[in-house]
Amino acid sequence: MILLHTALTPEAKPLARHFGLQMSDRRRGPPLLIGDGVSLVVSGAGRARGAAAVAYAWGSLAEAGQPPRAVLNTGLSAAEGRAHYPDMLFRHSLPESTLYTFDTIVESREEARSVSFDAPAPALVDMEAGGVFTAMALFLPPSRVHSLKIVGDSLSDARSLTANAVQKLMEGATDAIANFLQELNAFCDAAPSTNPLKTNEEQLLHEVAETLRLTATQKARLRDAACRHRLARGKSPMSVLSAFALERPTHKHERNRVLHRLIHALSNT
Amino acid sequence: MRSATHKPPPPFTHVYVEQAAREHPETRRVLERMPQSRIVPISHHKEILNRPRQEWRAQKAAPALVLALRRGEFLYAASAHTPDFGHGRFHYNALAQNCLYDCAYCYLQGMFPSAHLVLFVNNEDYLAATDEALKAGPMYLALSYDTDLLALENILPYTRRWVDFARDRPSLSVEIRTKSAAYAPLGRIAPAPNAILAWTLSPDPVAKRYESKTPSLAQRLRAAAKAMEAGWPVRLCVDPVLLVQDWHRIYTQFVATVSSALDLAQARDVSIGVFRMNKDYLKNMRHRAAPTDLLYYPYTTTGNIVTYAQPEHEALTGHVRDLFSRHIPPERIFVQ
Repeated sequence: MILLHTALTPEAKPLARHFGLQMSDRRRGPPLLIGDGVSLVVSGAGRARGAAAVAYAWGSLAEAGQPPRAVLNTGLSAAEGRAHYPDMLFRHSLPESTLYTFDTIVESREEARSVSFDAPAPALVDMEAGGVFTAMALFLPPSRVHSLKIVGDSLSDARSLTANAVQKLMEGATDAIANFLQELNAFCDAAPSTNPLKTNEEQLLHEVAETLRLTATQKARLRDAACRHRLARGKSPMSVLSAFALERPTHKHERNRVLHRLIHALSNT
Repeated sequence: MRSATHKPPPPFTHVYVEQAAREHPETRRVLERMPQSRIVPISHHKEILNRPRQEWRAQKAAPALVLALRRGEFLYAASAHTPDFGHGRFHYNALAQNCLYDCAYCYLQGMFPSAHLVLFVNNEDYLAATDEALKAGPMYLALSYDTDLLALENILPYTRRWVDFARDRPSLSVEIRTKSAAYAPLGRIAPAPNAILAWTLSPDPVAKRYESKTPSLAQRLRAAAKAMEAGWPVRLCVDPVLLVQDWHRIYTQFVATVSSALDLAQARDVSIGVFRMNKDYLKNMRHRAAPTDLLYYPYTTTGNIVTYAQPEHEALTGHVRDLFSRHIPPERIFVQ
């Protein structure tokens, strides 16, 4: 599940249409739309609303068993602005820029400079991304929180965009957003696991450890032996573990002997 | 939703540059060599290095470069678990953090939360600190400690500069430890008797399995042979020796290969050590690094170091030492 975030409803509508998103049945909190592999939360304008909305969406989706694996803040931005450091570890075809988040609407370059530091080359401003990044850093790596901005206005005409104009700009950008999401999704899919064991192997390991009434240290030793078995021999430890699944030691010394045999079998089979 | 196939971008598509390092001549030199990279200004390299929950392995596949200024300390006392080769004052410095190579047993995977490569551009401050430290007496200095310096020579030519620096300071001995096969940059300068080029060598089956992105044993041996021929003091490091299946035969064959490729009598010395690691680093590696059996071996723990049990340690180092002692006097073989 990838979580999209926009500040405004006109920014959200084209995305909802493009990804076939449906409003969730939650009655409280910001609007949360859910689809196949993509969800979308609409926060309202502002850094605090942005942070609160993504945290709310994260919690709601995690509770439903679908914690987002990446977050994409998107919507309109003005030209000129201030920066962030997402880790860009996959290829994409969009231009990159620094992004400055302000707590109030910024209407001129001078105003931007008075609030921000030395605004470098062309940059963008918004009112939410800083909050989204701060909130999502609690849950996700910096490689999985990104911001895509559609430059819809310059600082001089920031207040002049109508809802219709915003929607039109978003409609024009949905294909680019969808392509970026595909790359982000592929990156998430390709993320290698650091756990050498598969879910069913972990489960059997847990069952055997419970049956043998292993101590925490013994469980760790057994798990290490199972991991080594898979990594050194390239074989699943399932068959070895299964052979010991019915052992029922009646006292501590017997348990220790069974564990010794089990680890020996994992190391030598 | 449809999904594309992930293909990591090439290294250094992004170069993070500390504001304070932006105008440094070395920064400009590095950036000139990377015209395609996107330059991102930052305040401090730890803004990039110390972010929580970084995807270490994905970063290793597509590392960014961070150009920074080292502040504070420039020299550190070396760990007791690093051989000092009989030198009283053994220090190391960190001209870079992280490495282009990807060795499964490397402590850097557990030490730094990020795989991005940091280069400190203010080499002049390191040199000044070393001169200051030399006032207290002779010093042995490991230059390639948290990195592989020679492998970075095309980005920053620090190895050559430090050799030239050492050449005029006989009370300083420097060691440049490497797996690189890039001898050519050194071939253009004269050897210095107090600049030791130390090649880490592993049997091919070990290198193939555990030393990703490194040159092969044959390539490393060719580089070491050229260096020896040119008159450089060359150290051969078999460190770590690993308890792999069929290790006895593998290391026997390995020493035979090394001794036929190099005139071992010309080597300055041989350094042998087994796998050893700070236990917290090993724990971190299990969460970050590519899983290998090395991470799950039942090591013994002494203090905060995990390593093979004494009988295994003795069997491994004893075997390799005996093999080398057929070619090089025992007093030139150091076992850790």
